[in-house]
Amino acid sequence: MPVDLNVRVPSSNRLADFTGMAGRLGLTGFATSLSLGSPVTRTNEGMVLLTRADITGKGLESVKKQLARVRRRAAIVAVPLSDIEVSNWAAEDSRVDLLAIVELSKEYIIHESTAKLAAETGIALEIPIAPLLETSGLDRSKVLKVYRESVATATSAGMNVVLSSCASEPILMRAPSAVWHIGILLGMDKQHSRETVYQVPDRILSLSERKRSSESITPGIEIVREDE
Amino acid sequence: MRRMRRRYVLFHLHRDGPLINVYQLSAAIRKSFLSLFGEVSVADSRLFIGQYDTDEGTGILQCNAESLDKLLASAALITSIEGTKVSFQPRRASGTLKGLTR
Repeated sequence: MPVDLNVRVPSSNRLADFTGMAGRLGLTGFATSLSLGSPVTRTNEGMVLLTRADITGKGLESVKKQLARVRRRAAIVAVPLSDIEVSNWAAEDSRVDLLAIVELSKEYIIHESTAKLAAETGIALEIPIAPLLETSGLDRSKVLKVYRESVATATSAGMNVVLSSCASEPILMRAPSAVWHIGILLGMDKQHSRETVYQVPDRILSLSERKRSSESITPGIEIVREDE
Repeated sequence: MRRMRRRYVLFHLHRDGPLINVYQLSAAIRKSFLSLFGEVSVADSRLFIGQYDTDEGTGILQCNAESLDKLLASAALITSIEGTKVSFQPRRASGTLKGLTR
């Protein structure tokens, strides 16, 4: 099921434009930060809309507070890669679904220790493709450098990678068949790249569904019967 | 000289703006490919676009088999052609033209 896990729909009255474009491109759903009422919504056309929460704010305490608040309300919870303390803490917290690259500086790329922790927790690395579309020449080569290094670090640690459009306009969305070719630019082989587009989002969503259920405490620990 | 293996790709160019003709599209893909992979790769690619429907935005891209993935990645990164915003979608690839219509 090809799903774009990060589409930046600016307002709810533009939602139909994005849904239409997603359908034409062959996507079966996408995640957006808009408030949709429930974590997962299905439109009349069969498109799956997912609520996404991006944890913003600086410092570990701020991230912890927000995470506790948004987990059950969002289908996708993403924490931006920031300083090593916050990144490593998020990589160990099973409530998180994605660690996202949002800044292209050296301090905000994924470290080997973070990738190993995230691989154990089942958290994927999110690579936004919008910066590749917005830049060209030398500027794009700098983006490619960060992305290629991050993909290599995540892959060698066994961490899943997911490619998201981060599109702020419908025309900036990309078809799954186009996205996996972009994955090849990031150093993935064909099979790995196809997997990041067609299988990894599905795995993240089914894991997220279990995390949201009221019986789930942490992966592997669930309440099966409460004592009276 | 070894015979070159070709690949054919059915594609759809989604657009938001005025129509784009085949020469503009072909030049945009070559330019993106040149920027990402260099002159030698463009020379080896043997890119050709046929059966392009300007209104629908559909057509068939032909190229050297070895260049296919790089060419499609280059096309996927194109955001606008002559001021028209675009999104390139490869639909199906085949080793023969007949294979695309099956």
